[in-house]
Amino acid sequence: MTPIHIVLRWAFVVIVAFVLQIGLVTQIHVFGVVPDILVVLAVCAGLSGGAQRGAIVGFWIGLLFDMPRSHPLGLSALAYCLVAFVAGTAQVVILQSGRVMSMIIVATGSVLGVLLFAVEAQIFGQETLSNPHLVKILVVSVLVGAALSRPALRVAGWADGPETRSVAE
Amino acid sequence: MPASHPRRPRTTLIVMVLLSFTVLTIGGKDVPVLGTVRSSIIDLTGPIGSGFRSATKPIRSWWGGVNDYDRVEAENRELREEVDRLTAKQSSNSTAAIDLARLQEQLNIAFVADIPFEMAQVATGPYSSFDNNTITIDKGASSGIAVDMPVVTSAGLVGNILSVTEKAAVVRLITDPEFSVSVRLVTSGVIGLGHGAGPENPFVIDERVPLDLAIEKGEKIVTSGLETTIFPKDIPVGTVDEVSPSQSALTQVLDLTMAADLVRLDYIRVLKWEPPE
Repeated sequence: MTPIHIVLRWAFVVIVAFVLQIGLVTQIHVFGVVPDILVVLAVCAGLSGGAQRGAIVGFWIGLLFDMPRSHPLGLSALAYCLVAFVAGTAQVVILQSGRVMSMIIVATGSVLGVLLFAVEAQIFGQETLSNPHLVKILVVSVLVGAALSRPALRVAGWADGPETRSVAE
Repeated sequence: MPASHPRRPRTTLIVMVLLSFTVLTIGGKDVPVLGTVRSSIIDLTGPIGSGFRSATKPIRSWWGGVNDYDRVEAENRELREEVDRLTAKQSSNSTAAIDLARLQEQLNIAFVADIPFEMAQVATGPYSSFDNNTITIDKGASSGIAVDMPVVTSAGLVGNILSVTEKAAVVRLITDPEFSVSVRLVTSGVIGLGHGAGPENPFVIDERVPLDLAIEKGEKIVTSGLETTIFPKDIPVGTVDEVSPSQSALTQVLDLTMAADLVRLDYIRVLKWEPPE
């Protein structure tokens, strides 16, 4: 696959995930919490394509997610880019490991992404860390990350193409 | 894109982080291109959200029952009592009839009778659990909606317009801690200042209510309509649920049960009202 094919596939995946997040996922509250599937996709982008691609894809996913929201533009972009990069770095660790390890990393990455966003938003004057449901939000992030790790890794693997698809998938 | 050079991913990360900080810096400065892109995406989210809301209504009802059983059970009890009182009224089960009833309910609001308004429907709820002090509605600048305009339902105050695009608008709910409003205690006429305290928390009035003022539980609170406020007077805000002295013991703190049900918002009314010059 040529780089332009990879870019087009990722653009398609990110747009579909974004539409699902704002249209469908916002309607489904898990224990009163709106799940974040975009952070899961960002982490899987890092796991599947490596740290470099993770940082790029994570940035664009986050930036797109920032657009319709009322907080400062760029908060999710920064959080998702960092967490996807870390996941991509962790890819080396799980190279010889199985599905359970990749599930754990996606779940951990998802909760870290959400927490990082909350810290950044708090710094920028939003009351996110003082949100009374913060713990519940983090727990749901872990559960959603674990539950969606397999399909999200498959989607990320498809977007990356067969040449760069990692063992994590 | 294999990581052939060990320093390349780190360079990419640095570039992306710098890019994020650049966006964060210029994002707050009303850069036209960025603002246009953002407005276009917000305009697009309205129809997407509305489409999904309509399509998933039965599933959401089922999921709501499964996921929030205790609240649904409590609500069922309240509803059964209400049904006894409303036996004379018959309701249709069709979604269209329910929507029409909700719309009509919003069209007959006594407390804002002579203020021009625009009816709108909630397009999308919060996009994440950190955004639950805002909602997006399906009307925008093309319908005459502008920033700061008050938003109400037939029950009372919902919030005000935070930002507007051509076809959509973002409403800041009264639960937002940054939302404040000048209010009046109906019985005594005393003016206080209230603010949001986050989702699922009561609305709080913690300024200007004298310690010696006797306040009963259930006391009605409305907007004051003072010249400095952006809200017209007499919009119901809520009823007093709890009264306590402030930490400085100079005023009383009132916790309110909000008049409007922010959990099940559907149709809302944007008041085209501007404070007097």
